[in-house]
Amino acid sequence: MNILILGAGQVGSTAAYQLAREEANEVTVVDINATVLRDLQDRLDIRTVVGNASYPDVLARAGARDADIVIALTSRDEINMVACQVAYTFFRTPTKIARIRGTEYINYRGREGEQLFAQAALPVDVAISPEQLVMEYIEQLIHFPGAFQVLDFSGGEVRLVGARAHRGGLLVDQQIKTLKEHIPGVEARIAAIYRSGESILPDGNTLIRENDEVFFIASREDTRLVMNEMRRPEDTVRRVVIAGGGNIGYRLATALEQTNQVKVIERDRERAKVISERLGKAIVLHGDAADEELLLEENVDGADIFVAVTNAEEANILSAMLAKRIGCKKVMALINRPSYAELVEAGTIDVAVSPQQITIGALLAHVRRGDVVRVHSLRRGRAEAIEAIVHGSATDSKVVGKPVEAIPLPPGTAIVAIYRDNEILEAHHDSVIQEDDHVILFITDRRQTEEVERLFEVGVSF
Amino acid sequence: MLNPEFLTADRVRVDVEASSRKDALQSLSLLLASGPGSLTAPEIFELLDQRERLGSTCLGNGVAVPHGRDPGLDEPVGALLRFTSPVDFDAGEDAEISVAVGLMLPEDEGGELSTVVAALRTESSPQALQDAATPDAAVTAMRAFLPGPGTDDGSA
Repeated sequence: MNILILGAGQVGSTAAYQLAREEANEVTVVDINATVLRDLQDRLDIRTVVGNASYPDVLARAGARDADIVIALTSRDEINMVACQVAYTFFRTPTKIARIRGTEYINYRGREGEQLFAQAALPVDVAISPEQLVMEYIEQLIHFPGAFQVLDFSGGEVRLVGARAHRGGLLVDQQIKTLKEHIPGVEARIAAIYRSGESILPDGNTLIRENDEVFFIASREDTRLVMNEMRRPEDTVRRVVIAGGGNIGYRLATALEQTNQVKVIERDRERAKVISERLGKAIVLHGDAADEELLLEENVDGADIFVAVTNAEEANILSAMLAKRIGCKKVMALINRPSYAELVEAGTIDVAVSPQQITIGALLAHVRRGDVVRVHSLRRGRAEAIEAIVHGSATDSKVVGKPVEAIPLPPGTAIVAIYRDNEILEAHHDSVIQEDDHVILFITDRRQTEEVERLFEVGVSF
Repeated sequence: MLNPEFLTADRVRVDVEASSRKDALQSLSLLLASGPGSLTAPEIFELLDQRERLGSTCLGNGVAVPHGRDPGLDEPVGALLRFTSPVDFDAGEDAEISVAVGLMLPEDEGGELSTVVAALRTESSPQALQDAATPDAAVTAMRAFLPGPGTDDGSA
């Protein structure tokens, strides 16, 4: 795929890194800052062009004429939008993705239901709002306090959940096949297990051990039931403390304030005042979330969850560690740098939330070959879970009409579920793949992804 | 049965420069849009592009068969491009092409696509198309590999 990335900021650089390492891609990055581009070019096999990303001549120089995809990730929504319009008008770029922070642009509807992002209006095919994605990600985790990852497939009907096995979970120290006996009739499957950081592709005889990181797949309704197999049922979250009242913190408070007791700690007095007026039930405090006295004063020690989502990652790490130390049950921190995330996670901080990794997943689905509709980047980009729609017949598809065991999957890869006619089916060795199935795969080594995708491509005669 | 008239010399270019798959598909769309059917070149381009994303139409012998469906058509419409230098059409091996045969097919197509693909998969057809120096020569070369006698399709 010929890919044009506009903007070499955090998300843009991560996207360039992830996409350029796939051999099938040719990546060009545009930014106004020549120094940033030079740094990036030193590390990655990419082309770079210095200039204003929304100017037609800059896009032309960057090879827009040949680009299959434009991904506009500059820090300005308006530049991203205009860049998509320019790509469409002058270069007919088939896929145009833009980061749009202002949900006002996305959510507004005209009298006849008109939307801003449409071919006839502003041709942005996919508007990605990282803040919104991060907010939804954290919200899911708050609903499932035992999980460190909750990912949606098939429009939210199917979930992949990552949870650490703890004593008290019904399946701990048991063989996986006993899951069927514990919860008969529930279609669920253990997709992958990581033990001391190494992946184990499980079969029915595999024992689940304490501290294993278990990824399981289940329908939305059964998620909680399966979760209880991994760890003692946890009380539902009641008291949430959010450090940082920016875009993410404010949206999170809005989403949670009706069902939870929410406190927001915001450093900036003006901002604190503004969101305090907009929020109904949530309490907004003006102060420093890394101030131990303030945390104690506000009973953070008794809180169920502490979420640090300020725009300073070091501050997030520190305040989350502090909250944990004084007794908060579960703490999460927004951390951009993968190395930081790795350092703190599984230590004092329960969940490191990486905005790039979440955003990248949303981007990757559009860059993939075959009809891949969902990509979740896992384990800091080393593993992936994907959802592919099957097309074609037995003559022009490599998978249609075949049982799962006859599909030549690369090593470390498993078909974990099939979503068919609005129902999740466990993928057994003899399950036969049909046209229009949504197949969900767990790929422990993302370098195998390309080979997996090729299996789901249609033949020439389709 | 495929009507040999699906490809005529006015929809053939033998000296095309294309810098990428996208560029090649756009040139092909322009030619296809000049034939029967109501779709515009950008609409055809979109269909061809979407189809390529589901799986490449490269045959692995230097020829690709980008195609799409147009419910407004009764019969297949073809176009042919011969490139002056190879075009990188898809990632992976055997992905460079020097000839592209584009097809717009009616919704209820009856095997015409397979007929064209089979013709282009014969051992000598890629070379014959590459050697065609004029649009007329390319049309003749293409028809020579279709089943049945060249111009008389023996429909009875």
